[in-house]
Amino acid sequence: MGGYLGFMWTYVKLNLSSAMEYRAAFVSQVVGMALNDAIMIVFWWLFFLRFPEVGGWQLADILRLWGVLAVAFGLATAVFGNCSRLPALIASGQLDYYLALPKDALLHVLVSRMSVSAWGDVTFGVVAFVAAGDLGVATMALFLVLSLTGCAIFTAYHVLVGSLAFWMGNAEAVGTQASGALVNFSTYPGSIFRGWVKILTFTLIPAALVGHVPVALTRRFDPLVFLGVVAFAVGIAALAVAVFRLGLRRYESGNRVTLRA
Amino acid sequence: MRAVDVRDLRKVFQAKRKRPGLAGSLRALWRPDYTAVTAVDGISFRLERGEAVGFVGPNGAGKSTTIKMLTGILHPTSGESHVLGLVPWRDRSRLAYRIASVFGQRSQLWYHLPPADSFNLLARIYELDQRAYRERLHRLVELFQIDRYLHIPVRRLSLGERMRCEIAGALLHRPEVIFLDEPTIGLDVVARQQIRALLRALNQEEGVTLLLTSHDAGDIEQVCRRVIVINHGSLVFDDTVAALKRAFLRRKVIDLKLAEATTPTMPAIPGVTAVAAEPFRLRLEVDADAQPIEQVIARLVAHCPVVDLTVEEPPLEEVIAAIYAATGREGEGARG
Repeated sequence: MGGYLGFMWTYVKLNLSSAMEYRAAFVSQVVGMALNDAIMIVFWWLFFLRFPEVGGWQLADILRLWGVLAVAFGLATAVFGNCSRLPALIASGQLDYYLALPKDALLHVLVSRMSVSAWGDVTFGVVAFVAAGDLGVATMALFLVLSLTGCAIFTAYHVLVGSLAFWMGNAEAVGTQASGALVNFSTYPGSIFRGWVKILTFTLIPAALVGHVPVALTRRFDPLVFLGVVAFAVGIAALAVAVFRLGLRRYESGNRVTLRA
Repeated sequence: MRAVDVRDLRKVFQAKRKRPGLAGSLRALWRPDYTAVTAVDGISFRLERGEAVGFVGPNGAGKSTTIKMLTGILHPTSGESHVLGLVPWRDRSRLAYRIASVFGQRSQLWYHLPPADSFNLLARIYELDQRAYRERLHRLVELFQIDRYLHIPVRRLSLGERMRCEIAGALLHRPEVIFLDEPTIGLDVVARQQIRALLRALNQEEGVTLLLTSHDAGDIEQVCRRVIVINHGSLVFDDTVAALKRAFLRRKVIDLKLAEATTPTMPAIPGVTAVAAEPFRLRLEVDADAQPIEQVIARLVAHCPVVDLTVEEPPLEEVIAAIYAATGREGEGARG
């Protein structure tokens, strides 16, 4: 475990060093993404100036929602930056490099790229959560754990959808749509979803488990619900690893010229 | 224990077939038509430890597919293979600690960072002890003469400098077997010679087993003692480089630079034909079976005002074509 954490940390450092080779691009991507996220909060702030609440949610809840989501999504695409590119990597046979090395191929391919702008999401997420108030140690610890479970769910979800490329060949469009659906469903107050849509947000598109449920836990902690979120994160991560390994048997490689840029 | 033991290895890909145009695409959407493409068709060979073996064939012959199966990247359709006693696709991770692969067209160095950073990462990937890693790096830096490039971003290195760093990186964990796929592709003459010398030194001094694919006959001749030729996924030749030359390199070309502008009248030598005659230059083709090359050169020097003379061997492609002709196989294969 320690070896793998050290391995991941080495990649984080290397990816950051590589990105910092172009200082202006690095700073503009991080700041740009943080501002982009902040604009959404401005819209919600304007909304709440006219309407006091939506489905029992107030501005502080929206700030917590965006806080948890942005950190979870940011960590997923910063540390496991290749998760959204998995369909393209599989279809074009670019897993060869990782398969020829001793570390776990899935973990290796995921950590070998970093979305620099994702650090803007992480920065924004922390600021948004702090801005919501209630900075007790327990709340902040819960924020950290729920951000990590969210990160695991986001990453595993991308791996599951991306692994379809082993069977479909080209799964880029499906991956983009599925990723968009997860992010979009999770950025709205959970109370607005009813019926089969609500069921969908707890199953096929687990938006509730990365957004609405964590916010509910920070409002009123329920150990059973908390354990449910952790169990779901562990379960979907295990499923993603199993499906990826199953798919690897169908991997057909390729002959693209590649550089590690 | 052998370094590599391959028995009846086979790989079949399912390829979609489609008629041209939109109508063909619509038809394929409704009723896709798949065809089996045999990339590797039951090849068998063995490599002893410390051997340097050339693995050649035309594009699509199945070379890369075979190497990918031997490194565990691809699962075979059937057949057996052991590399250092391990089954590659089953023990891929364990095997990876003991082998290395260098692909001329795939870089493992980070493009925007200096090679030193990539080496540190590789040390982490292979879980090398820091002290052992430092010692090994020091040795490789000396051997490959890359101390000047260690801290320069890879994007600023020439292809030859980069390739030296690539190979040095692949050797950090002291692999026992190295698979090299076109390591000299795109390099100039000097850089090629440097890479060949390094591979020879590696094989002779460290006893590393090499399986080298290349389209350059010079790579095979200067690095390997044995050569395996495949085509259409089947093995068509497996013997020493010397045997390959004896069997198939009968034709040689002699290029003469002359002291006089007038082309001399050629003496009639059996098996020798003039293929080009210009002022100050004469190009002859020699059938070495009909006339030993040494005798041809002696008679030419005696008869013509020779300033310079070079003897060229036909490119490997021609040799391979001759092998196909001899074994009754021709044409392009299915997949590389």
